[in-house]
Amino acid sequence: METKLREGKGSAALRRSEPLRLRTELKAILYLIPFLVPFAVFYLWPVLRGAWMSLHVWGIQGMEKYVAFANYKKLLTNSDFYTYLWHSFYFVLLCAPTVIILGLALALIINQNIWLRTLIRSAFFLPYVLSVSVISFIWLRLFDAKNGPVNAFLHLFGLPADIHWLTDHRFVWWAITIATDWWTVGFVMVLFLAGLQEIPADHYEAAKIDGANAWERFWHITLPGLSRVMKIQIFYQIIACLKLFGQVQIMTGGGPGDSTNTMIRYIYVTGFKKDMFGLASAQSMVFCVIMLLIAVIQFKITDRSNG
Amino acid sequence: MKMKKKFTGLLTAGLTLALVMSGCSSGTKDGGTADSSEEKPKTESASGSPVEITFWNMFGGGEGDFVDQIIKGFNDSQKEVTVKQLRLESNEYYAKLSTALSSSKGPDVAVAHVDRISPFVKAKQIIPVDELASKVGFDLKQITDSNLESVTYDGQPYAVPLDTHFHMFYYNKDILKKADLLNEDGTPKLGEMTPEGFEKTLADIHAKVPDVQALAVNTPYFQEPFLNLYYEAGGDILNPDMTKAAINNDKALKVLNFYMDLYKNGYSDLNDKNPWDTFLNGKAAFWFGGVWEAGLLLGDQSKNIGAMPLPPIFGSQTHWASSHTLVIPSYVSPEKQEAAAKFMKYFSEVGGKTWGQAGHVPANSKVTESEEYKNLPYRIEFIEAQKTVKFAPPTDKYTTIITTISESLQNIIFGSETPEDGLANMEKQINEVLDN
Repeated sequence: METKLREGKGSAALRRSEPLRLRTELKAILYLIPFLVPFAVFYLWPVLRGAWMSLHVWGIQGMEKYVAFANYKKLLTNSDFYTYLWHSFYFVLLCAPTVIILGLALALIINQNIWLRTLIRSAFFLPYVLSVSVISFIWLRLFDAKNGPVNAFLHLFGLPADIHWLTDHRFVWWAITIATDWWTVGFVMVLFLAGLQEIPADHYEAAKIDGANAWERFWHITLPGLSRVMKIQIFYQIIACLKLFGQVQIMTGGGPGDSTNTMIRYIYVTGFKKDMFGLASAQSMVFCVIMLLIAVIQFKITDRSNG
Repeated sequence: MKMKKKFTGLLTAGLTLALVMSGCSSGTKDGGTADSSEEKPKTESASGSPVEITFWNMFGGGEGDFVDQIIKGFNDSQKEVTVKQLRLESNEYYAKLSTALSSSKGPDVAVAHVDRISPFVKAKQIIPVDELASKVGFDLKQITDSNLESVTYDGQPYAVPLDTHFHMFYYNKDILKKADLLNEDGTPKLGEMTPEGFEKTLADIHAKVPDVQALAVNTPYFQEPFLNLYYEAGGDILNPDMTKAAINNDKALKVLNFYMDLYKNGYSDLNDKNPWDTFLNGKAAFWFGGVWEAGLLLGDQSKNIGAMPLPPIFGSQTHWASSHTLVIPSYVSPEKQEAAAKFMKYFSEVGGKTWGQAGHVPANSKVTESEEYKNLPYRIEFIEAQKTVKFAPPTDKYTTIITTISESLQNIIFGSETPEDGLANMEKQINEVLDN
């Protein structure tokens, strides 16, 4: 609805007089400059340069030779690329749903008038202000197989043998997911809390009078009321999960073997450890296109359901 | 209240200033060469004022303290040259050094590992040091042959080697005593020097002292223990003319199977993420540890730890080594080159004694022959071990190759590839890198 309205206004201005429109356009650009200049210098230019690099063999010493699309060919014929791409998406499947469900559950609990509400809310939000390296080192210690508190805690409940959280490929993704969930759930919770506060209380009252139970109220009022926040959350979480790097770099180093090596870490290792910046640029370009596609698809879906 | 506000204001201002200033200071150091034109006439006319050179290194922690001592010693010992150092984060060191060298702005003298200088030599970004050395009266013959050879390209040395560093065989005497494997003189009884024989020793320890690892293996950096035994077996990473990988062979397979046996039988713990701590805390009987750990492991008598050269489990005593060297970039002005050479001479001849305390075996044979050095604990063993070291192949692709190897090895030991497939894969990847 909104977009249509704006278009209408634009075409009206167009019909009225040409110079006025030009002036508005110029004015708009003027206002955009403070954003456009840094955007062009620090984002567009590096991306374009990355695209240029991806067509060359490029070491840390600089350009070595032009190879056209050889880097892309090499990359797409390498099975590692598909493995690590899958790892990145696998993490989205693990982390995005869990963090959203946990965040929603926490928001619903805290939205009740419970004792020490502010304290609980801050406690859950606190990890979010920490940097990725800090939370990774915290969980690296917690998940330590021999002296880690997590295993010690599980032993209390009769766990027979140590779980090698970070070196056993059956558990390692869960370890990364738990650490990431703990880190980001506070932010998800706060957004849901804001969403919950927007839902008018009289809807619930009306439903109560009509005899709806708690589950029905949640299903028919709360969830639809949160749909806008939910869409943003899903979008944001997918992108954030795809960008997984810090946690695996610090907690597992991509291990055991390469079972937690993600796309971003693959790019990092290719570029900075193996000194193949051309190939690494090609990898980033491909991954960037994939992420853009996902974003476009999501926008399309949300747009349709909005209209 | 007001006071408080004022204070916070001051604090923020101070912090901002500090941030800005620190940014500036590194800037001036970077631009150190730019000033050279202004300084040149000064140093030439007034013989009194010293030439200032910038020295880049990546030494942190304990090593850094020794370097500080050496620089201070040099600056105090004469009035012609002042060395200012810039210490960089070791993870980013080579990225920064390479950038500096290719943009001709940066250090006047810098530390570089021997396996890293090849690309710099190839790009003519660092200069040969033989003429400079003779100009300042530094006899390069003092440097141990194997070290000098490792920095020689087309008959000319391109760096001054400071040390050799490699792994020693550290053993915990308390555990060995419990396992009844300690000789009267405090050395371990190792049995037959074959993979099977050594495994038997480990099995003995495992049976008698079950709550420790018999051998702590450096699993996170598995390329190191792998290369040590692979070199012992007579293996090489590349063929002699460095055009093809030479790693996919029986020797590599045997070494891999040996280690995987240790993991399987519980002599070593595959899941140990900090094996160095495990050994330090007395939870492992043996450890292939770096000479740079000597201070930590041998310094504390109560730990009851000893060291000896790596035992020839796979036949020979050849083992992995690297070396710190000093290089002079080619953009440095002649005056500063000479000043840098003077610093190199001091670092090698006098600083070597200090450097030896850090654990690395100094490359200057005058230092290693001195009584002062030999009196440090176990240094005689270190010198013995240094005789059979093997440096990385001098290819400018070494960084890529070793990263490839270490990644493939992780896949093999954690079971996502069989050793046979892993080695074949490694060979393929290395050949691709070399073809480029």
